[in-house]
Amino acid sequence: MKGIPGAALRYKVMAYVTGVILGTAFTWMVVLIALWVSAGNDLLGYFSADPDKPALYSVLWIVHGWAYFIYLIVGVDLAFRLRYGIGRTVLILLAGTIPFMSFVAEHYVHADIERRSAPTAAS
Amino acid sequence: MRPARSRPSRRARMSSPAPSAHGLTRGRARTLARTLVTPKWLALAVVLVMAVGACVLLGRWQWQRTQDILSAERVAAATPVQVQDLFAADEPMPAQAIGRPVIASGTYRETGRIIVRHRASADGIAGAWILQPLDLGDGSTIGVLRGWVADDGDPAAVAPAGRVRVQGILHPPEAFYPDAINPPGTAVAISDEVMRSAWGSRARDGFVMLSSEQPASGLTPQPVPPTIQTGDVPFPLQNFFYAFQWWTFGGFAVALYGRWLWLDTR
Repeated sequence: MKGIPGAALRYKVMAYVTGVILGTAFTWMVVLIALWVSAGNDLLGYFSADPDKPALYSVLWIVHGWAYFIYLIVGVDLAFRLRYGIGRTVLILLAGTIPFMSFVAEHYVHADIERRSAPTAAS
Repeated sequence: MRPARSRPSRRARMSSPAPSAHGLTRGRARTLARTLVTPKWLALAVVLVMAVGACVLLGRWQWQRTQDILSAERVAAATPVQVQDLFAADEPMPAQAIGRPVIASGTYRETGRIIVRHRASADGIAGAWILQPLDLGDGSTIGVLRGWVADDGDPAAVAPAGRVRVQGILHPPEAFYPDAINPPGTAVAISDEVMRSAWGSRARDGFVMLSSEQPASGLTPQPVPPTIQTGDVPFPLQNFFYAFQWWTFGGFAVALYGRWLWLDTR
């Protein structure tokens, strides 16, 4: 299918954007939980008590929600263009929800496209 | 997209591939139906139903969270709090404190009474409002608008002695008539300047519109209703968006299934 370079670029941008936002939000969450526990609180109590968090922290999660939304669209688009099967597509899509995994998925997809377009590829 | 019966001229213009690769012909529909009932696609249908069901439930859960957070915030905003807990004595009143139900405990300073002139009663009768400083015991003072009297000499204007616990609605200071010249003990607007010059620099920003006073005194000014309008509590956008996104993800799953089925039968 046509348009693979453009789709790959869109996917790359969204993989990095989603990855950076999720990585930041996730690291921040770990810090907040560490502070909560070191203040002598119960670990699970963090989730049930739902203590007040900085406004920017909540904004970060909202932005990640929408970034992942766009990541899904460009990811599905690229997976279709590359004729990926269900398993690979689902793995790529889920990578946007696991901290730092979208970078791995992007690296994998990029290497796959390089391999396909290599002139020495057997066909 | 493609018309059921193409006119010859159109067909002639169409370059390769065979029409069946694009449109939904009868043969194509038969292939799709046959593919749907193969074990692989039946298994995928089960996965699809589970995925969509999970998305629907997760979306409902976030929607419920949105509602729960909103109602908890509204309950919290409607529960009276100590005025000292909302803002410090030397701070301006924060926006979210405006209109909050508050409690204040202390003793009225009898000599600090301010007669706020040209104010109407709840029924619209001309008179004055009585603003009495309440010393909170921490060195700070807050004005309590105890109510309306027809005439300054009304004995109801005299504040009770001893400790009282008042409850009311927190008002921001009034900012109009800044250039008014007020005879001592009177004002036309309840501004911070008026209160600080009468009660000292430890007078808090704004004042309490009294709704109840304990112990109740026999003779009190007529209560006046609060004029302040309070905004709603902050909306939990994060959970609201998550609900929407979960439901859309369910739609994505259906679209993916359809697309893969289409490609698989080509």
